[in-house]
Amino acid sequence: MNNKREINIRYISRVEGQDSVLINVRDNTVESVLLNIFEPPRFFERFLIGRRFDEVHYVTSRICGICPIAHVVAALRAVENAIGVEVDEQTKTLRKLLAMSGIIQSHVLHVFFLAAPDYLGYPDAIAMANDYPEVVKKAFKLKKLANEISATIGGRAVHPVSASIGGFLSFPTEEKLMKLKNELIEARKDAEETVKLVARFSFSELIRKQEFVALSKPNEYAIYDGNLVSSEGLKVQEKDYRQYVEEHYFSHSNAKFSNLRNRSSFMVGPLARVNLNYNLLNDEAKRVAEEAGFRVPENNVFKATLARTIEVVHFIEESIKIISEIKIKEVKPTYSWKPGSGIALTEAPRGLLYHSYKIGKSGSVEEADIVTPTAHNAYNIENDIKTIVPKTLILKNEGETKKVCEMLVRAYDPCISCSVHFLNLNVEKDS
Amino acid sequence: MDNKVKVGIFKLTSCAGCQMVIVHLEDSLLEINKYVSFEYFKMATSKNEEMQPVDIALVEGAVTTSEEVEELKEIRKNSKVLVAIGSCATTGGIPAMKNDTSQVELEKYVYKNLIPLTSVKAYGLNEYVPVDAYLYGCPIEGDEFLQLMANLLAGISPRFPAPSVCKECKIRGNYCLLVQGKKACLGPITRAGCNALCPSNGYPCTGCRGPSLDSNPRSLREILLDKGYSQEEIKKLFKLFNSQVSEFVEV
Ligand code: SF4
Ligand code: SF4
Repeated sequence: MNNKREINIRYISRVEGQDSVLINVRDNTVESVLLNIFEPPRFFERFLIGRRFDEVHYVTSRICGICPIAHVVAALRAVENAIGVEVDEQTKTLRKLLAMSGIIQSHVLHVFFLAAPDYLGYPDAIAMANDYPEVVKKAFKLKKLANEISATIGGRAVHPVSASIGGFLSFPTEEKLMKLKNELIEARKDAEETVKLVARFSFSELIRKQEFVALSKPNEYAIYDGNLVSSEGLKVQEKDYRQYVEEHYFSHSNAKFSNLRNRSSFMVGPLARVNLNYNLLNDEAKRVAEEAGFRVPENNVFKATLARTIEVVHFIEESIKIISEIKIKEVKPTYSWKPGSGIALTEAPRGLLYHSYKIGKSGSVEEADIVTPTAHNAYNIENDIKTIVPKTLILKNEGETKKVCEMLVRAYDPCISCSVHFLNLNVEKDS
Repeated sequence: MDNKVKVGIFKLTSCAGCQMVIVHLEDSLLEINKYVSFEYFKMATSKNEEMQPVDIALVEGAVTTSEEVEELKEIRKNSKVLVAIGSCATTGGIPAMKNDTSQVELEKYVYKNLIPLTSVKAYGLNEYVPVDAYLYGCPIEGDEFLQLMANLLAGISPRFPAPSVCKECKIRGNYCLLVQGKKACLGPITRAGCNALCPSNGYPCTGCRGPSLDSNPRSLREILLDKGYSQEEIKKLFKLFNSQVSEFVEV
């Protein structure tokens, strides 16, 4: 008897964009897993060609409406590296604050609106609001605050406008910053309670040997720049990224898949960051992590959601520090530039983000190359599914398999628009 | 409960930024939820199954594949009111930038191994189906979304005034980026409604909301030529968000 089954999970909801997973199973062994990202390709790298260097961040922001800030910051740094522009400390600090607000916003959205309904058993956050009004209110408050920071520093929450080559075009008033600081101080409690809430979720378990990859710096929890490090001892400078990270393309998906040269897939994102840079988290974040029973290295992929809440606590504290210390000088960017090539690695909410450009003599883009966090993770997601499906098949029915796979994919918070700027769950079982 | 107005939010080729503006409405979203039920909101719910008829379909994104053409027609067939949200859906927006390059060249550049992709030129929704209302911008304005919903719920057809961004800039008392800053600002020819967001933050308007009613791109072109911008630069600028808008392209 041919015991071939096909499990097809079309449209994983509550992930941003469109994807499906197709799993082929024969006699309870998984023959193949195809993570199909069927969002149409968008060809950003091509249509950046010919545009001026000072438009690049503005255009690449439109790769993703959920993490536009990450693309803006990465594009600015890559172009600046290409054209030989150095920015002052204030610009770096404001960009970090902007990037942190982007991460808080994205994490809160994920934890409350995408993951919590799974664990609390609702189709969505709005339905959840009827039974958990306080939880949803808290989430809205945190997210709103993060957006206010983004808008105050960047001019607008979705697709910021004031961050620019060489510096900022507009600056927040002291009054606004003080208001944000007070709200951040008030938000501490909500953020801590979020960690406690999520720590009580009954997480599924998927532990397999895998490599975590994130940026790292000696004296800070890196998000803006740093060396590329891994749990298997990789230590690479930003400029050497392409020598270590390869990309391949599968016909079943519109996104590209990454692996480490001569090695396998790898995981980027909040779990990788917290695992690799735990010691650099501030005391508040470490304390809540300990209270939540989070021990590094935490190898259960599903716990990425808990790592997000720990990062929220961390970035709220860091934002308070920045705002307390900064004395804004309103200097508009002035710079001279020369043609050249440049690379930037940053930590987006979902993990490692790579932008690279070559700027020609006329000031226009001649080459562009972008690898998003979800593209970095896609191959690893497939490998995770290969590991978890056999376990669920024996124990549970197909519906359960689908549910666990969906939750697994969601634990990565895949950002599909991002991955196909140039990412479907179908499980095929033989039965 | 069951006579709530059914709303579907759909995504074609886009960055999801416009949906995010709606998600970011937070408290207002919960308020709206008293009157409407979101039947399709892929990003926020897991109850999306087969397409059931909705009262209001909000569609984000440009149409860039033959599958999307079919999907859009399906949405049109199953909705009473269809609203295009964001510059991608209204005119093709940023995704339409690819229209100038041949498909093969695009794919060659982005994907080393060429595989057949059913990607077509990118257009706004009205290229394929009748559209009842538009929300402009990249991204849309949250307030305009709320106004649209209030109007639709009250059975009023929504109207958004279309003077130029310049008018809002003057009301805000901004320094003029075009005259004083000598920067190529598209404020004079672009539809207001964003409260001159970009110029107010020191960034010239790039025309994301499309042409204002009295838009005169030819005249702006003359001004920019005078200021030393080349025809080529002006063309690129006009085409950033509006490569499918004839007034902007024909200059
Ligand atoms: S109009 Fe802009 S913000 Fe809206 S989906 Fe398109 S690119 Fe994103
Ligand atoms: S100023 Fe121009 S580019 Fe900026 S939001 Fe308004 S219409 Fe769009």
